Amino acid sequence: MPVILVSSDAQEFKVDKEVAERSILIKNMLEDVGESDSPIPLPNVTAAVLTKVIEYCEHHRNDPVQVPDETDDPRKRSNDIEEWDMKFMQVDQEMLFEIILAANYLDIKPLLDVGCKTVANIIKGKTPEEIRKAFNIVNDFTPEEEAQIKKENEWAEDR
Amino acid sequence: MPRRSKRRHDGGAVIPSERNAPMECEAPVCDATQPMDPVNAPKCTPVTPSDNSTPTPATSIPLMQSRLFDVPEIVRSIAEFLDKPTLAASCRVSRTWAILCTPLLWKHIGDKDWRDGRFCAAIKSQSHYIQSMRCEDWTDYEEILLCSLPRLKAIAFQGSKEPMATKTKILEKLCKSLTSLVLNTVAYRLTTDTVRAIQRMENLTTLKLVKMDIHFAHLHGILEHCDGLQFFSVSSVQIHSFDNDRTLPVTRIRYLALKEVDISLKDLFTLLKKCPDLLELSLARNEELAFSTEFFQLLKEFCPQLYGLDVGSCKLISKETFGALFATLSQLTVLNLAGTVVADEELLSLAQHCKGLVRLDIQYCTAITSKGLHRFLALSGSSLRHLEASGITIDPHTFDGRAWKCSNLQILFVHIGLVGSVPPRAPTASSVTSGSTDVAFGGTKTGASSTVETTGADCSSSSLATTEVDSPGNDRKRPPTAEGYSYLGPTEYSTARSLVPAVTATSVSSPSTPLSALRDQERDAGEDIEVQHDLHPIQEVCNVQYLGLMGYGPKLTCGSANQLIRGFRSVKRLHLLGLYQAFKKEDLEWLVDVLPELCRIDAEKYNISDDLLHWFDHAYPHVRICRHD
Repeated sequence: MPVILVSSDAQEFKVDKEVAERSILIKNMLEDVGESDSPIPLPNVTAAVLTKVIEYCEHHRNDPVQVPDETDDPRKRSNDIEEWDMKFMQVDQEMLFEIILAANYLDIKPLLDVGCKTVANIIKGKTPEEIRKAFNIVNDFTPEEEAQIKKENEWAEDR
Repeated sequence: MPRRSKRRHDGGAVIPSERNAPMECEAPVCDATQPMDPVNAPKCTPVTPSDNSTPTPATSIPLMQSRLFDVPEIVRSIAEFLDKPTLAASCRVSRTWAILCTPLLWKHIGDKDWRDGRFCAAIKSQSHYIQSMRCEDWTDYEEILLCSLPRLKAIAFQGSKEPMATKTKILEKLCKSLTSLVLNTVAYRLTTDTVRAIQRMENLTTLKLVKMDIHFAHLHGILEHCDGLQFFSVSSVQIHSFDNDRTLPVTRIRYLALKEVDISLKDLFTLLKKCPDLLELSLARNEELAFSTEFFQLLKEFCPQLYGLDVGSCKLISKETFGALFATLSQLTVLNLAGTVVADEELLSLAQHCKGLVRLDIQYCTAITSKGLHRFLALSGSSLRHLEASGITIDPHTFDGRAWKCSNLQILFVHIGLVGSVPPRAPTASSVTSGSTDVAFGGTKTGASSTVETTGADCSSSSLATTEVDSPGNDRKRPPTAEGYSYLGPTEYSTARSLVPAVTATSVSSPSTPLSALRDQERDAGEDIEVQHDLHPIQEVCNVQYLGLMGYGPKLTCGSANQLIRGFRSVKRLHLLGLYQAFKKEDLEWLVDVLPELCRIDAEKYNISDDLLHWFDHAYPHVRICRHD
């Protein structure tokens, strides 16, 4: 039975239950409501972002559900991003961030991970100033504070 | 004390992840006692909906961007994927970032961190962030004594010249907060002082002792006082003066490992009787312990919840006993049989009895043939996810028409080629090839090239077990680096294996030592790899995501139309270890083409040249090649 999701800008999306349940939030909501065909409002997700999220869930609909013990396997836990996901994540930064926020809100752990890995890859090797520039983050340190932190963590920075 | 110097092939743990895990991961999987991984922690903070009511026009990009980094758990999730240098830089981005990243930077301190003088200068002011530490030779033990370590939960001491007295002082200092303690080769025997410190660790859930002896009275004391102990592992340990008359307290141990422990079956019973909650048991490398059928029956009785068993390298378990083991403990889901006498018949019995098997390790059960492995996979159900079968050859031409049923198999490590287990075939002019070597022996130590030299001299002693004979005329057909390799037959191998220091423990994510035979693929491709039936059995297994191939044999070349690899269409990560082949451009193009999901190739340096790597990185940015030495 399909599920109807409603984006923040009031667009309706009809998706298979199996696909929608990739989101733990929706899965829990459906469990709470029981059999019902009333649409599920998602006030935190715009139609554009929801389209992307559904695309991801469709592609990964048959993925085995991650068993917690397997994520501990260091061979499986890595920064690798598979090809389809990497292409999927080739969007502008705004959309990337929106997808991450939506994955966090909807509780879609694999999508959240892929998003965070993508951002981590952007950050990797950058200086603090470059990171601030890339993400428009305001430096709210006093010069003394920053110098102090640099001193404390310098051992890890250049190696 | 010759026992200590005798390091043997590690049968491996029940949990393969233990090989390469950092300290805090050394507890078994599913261990509820471990601190919760923040990445996996349940989400509870939804995004603030305030600025979400209106669709976002392009002009508000800065606003949107900062919103992502305003959600602390997301910044933290991102930080979890950063390496230490980037993490250190991230600490200086802003106050929020500093709050989130600094604890992660200091969370785990390794021995090598102490090499930097700036680290030693900073640790005292930051030590309150430290949650786990691994201490070896670089560590300044006196400095640790001066630090405040309120969050330190896990500590591992390994070797080092620092006297045990200093380490014991550290343990006394930390005894209230520690939940995990590893003592590896730090003293000849656990002293009364150290034991006293351990007994005061009322929160201890994990204790691991490696290569140090313990007196039974001390063991008794620890089990009595540390009554929250759930993971208890001793390896290469002798338990002195075992006293069966002295009643041990009932423990809450769920994971027990007694690897290479000098213990009798009777003493083992005394211990197991007191572990009614046991979930996983490792008895690996107890090579001289003669397990009986009754042992496994009593094990089922004493530990009714047991689901994981590791009897790797327990060479004295007979075939008959294995039959009884599978029939008795049919509830097992994780099983390690590496390096045992298990053969095709036992594998069949296993598939018939243990229907819920999730993980199986049968590395170097050299009696298992490709045919037997195929039959097992055709009978295994959908529960099987992870199969370690390095050292067992997989050769499509031995398959019959049956399809594999293990549709959830995700990780598979096998040998590709014709070593050991494949029955000898009459040599024909076209299949006569050169010998081989065990590349990983060199690969894990000094690199493949040195292996060529050391084993090249053994050519004359090549086993004829596989009927493959070196023929000088074939040399030009081999890739240049293949020259000089010798063949280690099964007999030579078993001797050679004991000489190799625990390869599984040292090699990075490679399951074990591949044993391999070189065949001249260019000629053999047509006749050997061609599969008769229309539907390749492997094609049924659509979920293998991590495939490890090692050894000699059918090469992964574009011209060979290698049916084997074509069966694994969902592979995301391909691990080539000791797969003796220098790749060409067209081979990699072909691989990427037949494996549409591929995102990573692990190979050895000689597999892929610098130039090729450079070209590949540009041609296929979505596939990463990781070369290992």
